[in-house]
Amino acid sequence: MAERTPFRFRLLSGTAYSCLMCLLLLINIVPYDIWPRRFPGPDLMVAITFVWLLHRPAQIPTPLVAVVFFVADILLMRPIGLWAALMVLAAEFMRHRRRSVRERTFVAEWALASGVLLAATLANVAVLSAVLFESVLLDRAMFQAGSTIMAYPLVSMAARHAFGGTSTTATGKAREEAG
Amino acid sequence: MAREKSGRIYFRTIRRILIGSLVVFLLAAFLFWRIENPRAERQRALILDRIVPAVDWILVPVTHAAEMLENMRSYSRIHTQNLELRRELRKMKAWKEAALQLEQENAKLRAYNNVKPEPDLTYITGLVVADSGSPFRRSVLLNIGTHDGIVDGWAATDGLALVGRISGVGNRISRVILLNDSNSRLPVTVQPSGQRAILTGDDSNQPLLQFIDNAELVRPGDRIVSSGDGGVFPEGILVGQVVDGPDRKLRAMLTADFRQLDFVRVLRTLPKERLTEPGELVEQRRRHPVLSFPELTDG
Repeated sequence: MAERTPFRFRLLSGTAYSCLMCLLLLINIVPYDIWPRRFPGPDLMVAITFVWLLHRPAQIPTPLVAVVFFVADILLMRPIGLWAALMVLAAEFMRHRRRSVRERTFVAEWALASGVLLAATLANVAVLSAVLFESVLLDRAMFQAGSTIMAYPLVSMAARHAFGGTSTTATGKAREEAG
Repeated sequence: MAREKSGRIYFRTIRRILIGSLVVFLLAAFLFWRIENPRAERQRALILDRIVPAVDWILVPVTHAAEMLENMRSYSRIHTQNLELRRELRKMKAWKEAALQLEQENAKLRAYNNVKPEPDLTYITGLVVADSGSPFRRSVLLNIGTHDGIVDGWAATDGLALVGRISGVGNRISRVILLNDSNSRLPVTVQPSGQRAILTGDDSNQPLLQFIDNAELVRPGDRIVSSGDGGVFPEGILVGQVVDGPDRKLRAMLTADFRQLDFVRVLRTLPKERLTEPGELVEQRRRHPVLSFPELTDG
């Protein structure tokens, strides 16, 4: 069980995840793309986190996800804490639900990720309008969720290459860890 | 076996409690942000103040690389651009001549009139180091802050036209909310009709003109300048031109070039003296006889 994924390896992959997220954050705040485009690009941080959670959940503990998105909330001028809380809930949900997509076809995995993202986006907009935050742009938020969903297969494909094959053993391993 | 199972359940309960408290903490942070918004934003500015200068050395090369890419792209248009520039230059020469003449005339009239032009308008120039990073907020971070004397609410221009206002100042950084951010509201005057309006950002390239006194007097092509109604903002700074939006609403085409925003000029404005009661000026004059005004003479 535990001896099959040594602590050091998990630490290393957690660090890799954090570094990747920091890099994405930096790229996000580079002052290059100031002008609004009609369709906001995909939120790669979310896409990568979801892929990671569905493929190797044991490597990124939920508190790490919370910290990453909390920092992102602060840096990206979003309402502080709300999106992070939603991501924690999403992460927990996916951790428990991934057993049902374990004998997954890719479509099942994609559908799960899309469903969770759409739910989180809707909840975000709903809460923000409930607390009368000045301007909630539902259509743009939905556009972004849409483009993230479109980008998901690419990220997932890249992840398969990065993680290497042997998905089933890893899944079993991860399940024991998570359980 | 049984012990192992109960241990696992125990572990799972602990874990659930931990995750639950994590979510509660995050939601509490959100509530704090919502209720004590100014204080939360100040905390955020402090954090950004720590982080952004520290990662400046990473941001600069990445920004340069992005710029180079953009430049490469623009090379392909260089010939047409050249022609366009020549044409514009010719037009500008004519304007320059007109401006010079007007300036002389203006100076002469001022001399007659003894008008004192706005004396307090000086500026501080800052470099754009980061943007908001979110597709829904339009703002940039400058590398100047309270250290350089920046104050919340000052106007930011690109040298010619207004780009936004300072909102959030750290020690060495400050944030500029751009005019097209969906939270930006700016009192403006439309020239030549002199109609007052509010320029409302709505996250599109062309902010909306709202609450116009008399919309019939406003035509596409009219100049929009800041009106200084807020008291903090200097008046008469160029904002853009009125255009008829695709949705039949009056919008502003901004003069500032947001695509190439690398230097931003922050106008140092001091709050104007306000006359709240009639006759206050006269009272003051009596109190400070040293500050005597030049004698007014007839004709």
